[in-house]
Amino acid sequence: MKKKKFSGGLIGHIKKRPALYLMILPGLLWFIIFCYVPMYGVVIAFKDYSIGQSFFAGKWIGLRHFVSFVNDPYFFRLMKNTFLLGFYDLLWGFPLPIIFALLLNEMKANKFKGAVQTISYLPYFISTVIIVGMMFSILSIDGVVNTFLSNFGIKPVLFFSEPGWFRTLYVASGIWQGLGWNSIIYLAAISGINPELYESAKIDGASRFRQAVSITVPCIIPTISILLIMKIGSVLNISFEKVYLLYSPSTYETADIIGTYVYRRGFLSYDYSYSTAVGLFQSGISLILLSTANYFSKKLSESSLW
Amino acid sequence: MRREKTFVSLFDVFNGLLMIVVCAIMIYPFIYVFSLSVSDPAFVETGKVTFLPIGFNLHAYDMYLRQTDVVRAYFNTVVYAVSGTAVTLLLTSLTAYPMAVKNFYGRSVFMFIFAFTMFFNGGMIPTFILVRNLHMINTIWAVIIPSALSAWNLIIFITFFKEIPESLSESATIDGANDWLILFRIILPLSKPVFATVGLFSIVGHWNSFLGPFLYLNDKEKFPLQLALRKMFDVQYRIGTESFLPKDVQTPLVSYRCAAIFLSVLPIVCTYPFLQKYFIKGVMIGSLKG
Repeated sequence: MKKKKFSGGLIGHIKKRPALYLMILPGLLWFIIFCYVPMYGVVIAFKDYSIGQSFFAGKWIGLRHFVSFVNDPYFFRLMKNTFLLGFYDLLWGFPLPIIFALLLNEMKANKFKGAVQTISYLPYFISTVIIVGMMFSILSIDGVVNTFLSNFGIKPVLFFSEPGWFRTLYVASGIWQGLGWNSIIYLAAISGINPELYESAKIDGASRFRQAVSITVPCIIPTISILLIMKIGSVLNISFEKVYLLYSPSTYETADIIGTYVYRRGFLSYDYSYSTAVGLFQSGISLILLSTANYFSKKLSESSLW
Repeated sequence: MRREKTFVSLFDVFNGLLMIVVCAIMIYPFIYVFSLSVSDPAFVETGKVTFLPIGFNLHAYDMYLRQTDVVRAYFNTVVYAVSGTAVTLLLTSLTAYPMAVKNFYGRSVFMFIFAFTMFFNGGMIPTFILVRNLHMINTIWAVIIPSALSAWNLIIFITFFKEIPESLSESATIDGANDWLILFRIILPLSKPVFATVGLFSIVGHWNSFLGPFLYLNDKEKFPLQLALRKMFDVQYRIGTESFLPKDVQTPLVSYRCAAIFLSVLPIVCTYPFLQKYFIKGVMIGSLKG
């Protein structure tokens, strides 16, 4: 991306079509105020900041908060939980929509296929609060799952109090919500494949399975790579909302992630500088991950984000 | 178009069954929740309801809709959704139009400024401090403004505007029209599809929004739907008069909560199949460009 120098040419252009620049002004201001000012605001992670001040105030203390975080007794737990949650989400949640798209593509009954698609997209539009609410109902002590288990003499499982279940619940609900919706882009990529490739393969006697493996999959590899890079880059950016709604102090062991810790330290304990530092730490690692994934993808398959 | 084979293989049967199972898994929670909300309290409390309702009564819904704070939450959500979407559509279209104009000087700089925000943001705490310093906490502005624009929506609009033939704006310019007239008289009337797409995403987003209101709103009377729902689930056992929960003890808490869930998803479930194409179109444009 080139950065144009702001020369006298800009003023000239503004004079020529002032309306355009007036139109873009509110939006530009919005981005500056609500995106870039908070970006600058992370600077309070390096300061001793108290609430009510502007981002420019506060004594500079450098990396002290970051050092504290690394020495925080919860540091290891938070890093482990954040990473594992993201990793499992990637491991299970990334391939399934692709497989779903491939299988969907093989379906011939178009009305049925359309119905399946419509139904599979639906969970995406349900809010996190409601999904968690549904989970509370289904998995509660006297919910359908525990009732079912009791028929086999198994004692009721307290799904929301046992740390061991948290990751499964998080990932499974993510899959439930995203399977259909995330397959859209793969289906779009598949529909863009040249049909002649399939024709000639059929003439050569390739089976459907062979066609899928040798034509469909390789053709969507670029799409998969880009999405994979982005997913890896955001593996640490776990949805605060769902974890917060799903967790409880008894599951902090596996459920407490950097985001929720930032929330508690910031909003409940008012350690604004410290929690911002923690959040920034996470962003830093995400950036490293994103760059690494991008680098490897460039080396291996020629597709990359930048 | 691939030639249709006329015979059905074993794989197809397997695939079809698999799809049915997937659909069943998607739909089941809705049915279960509905059943819990309409079944006889006796069966609900003993955990006998597993799939279809047993008995039928609308007592839970009756109690739910009598709660003034619940009705107000719905009202708030509608207000936030309508005003928020109006602001979003206006601001986004205004910002996108110049970006789509040919030879717009500075476009790549602006594009970088906008696109950069897709990858980096200040985070929860700095944004909260900003909203606070702007005195927006606990006002409707905190719900509307911080989420008014997004690079994503902007790209969708820009892509759409670019598709509109330049000849239209060119002939208008020859007739002496200025940019404002072109935008409002020519471009916008042609933009119904993109307004529908972005508008619908915005409305659904507001309907489902929890985090923003959770962080920025303090007064119960201002809570939108999802926040109210969350409050209903927060308590394990009802103690006296909690917010958003009915005062009588006849309705099982479970039924009440399920009625709440059901009446919150119903609008989405009912309208979404008809509007599906807008959402899909939006995703395609956004993803391909992004």
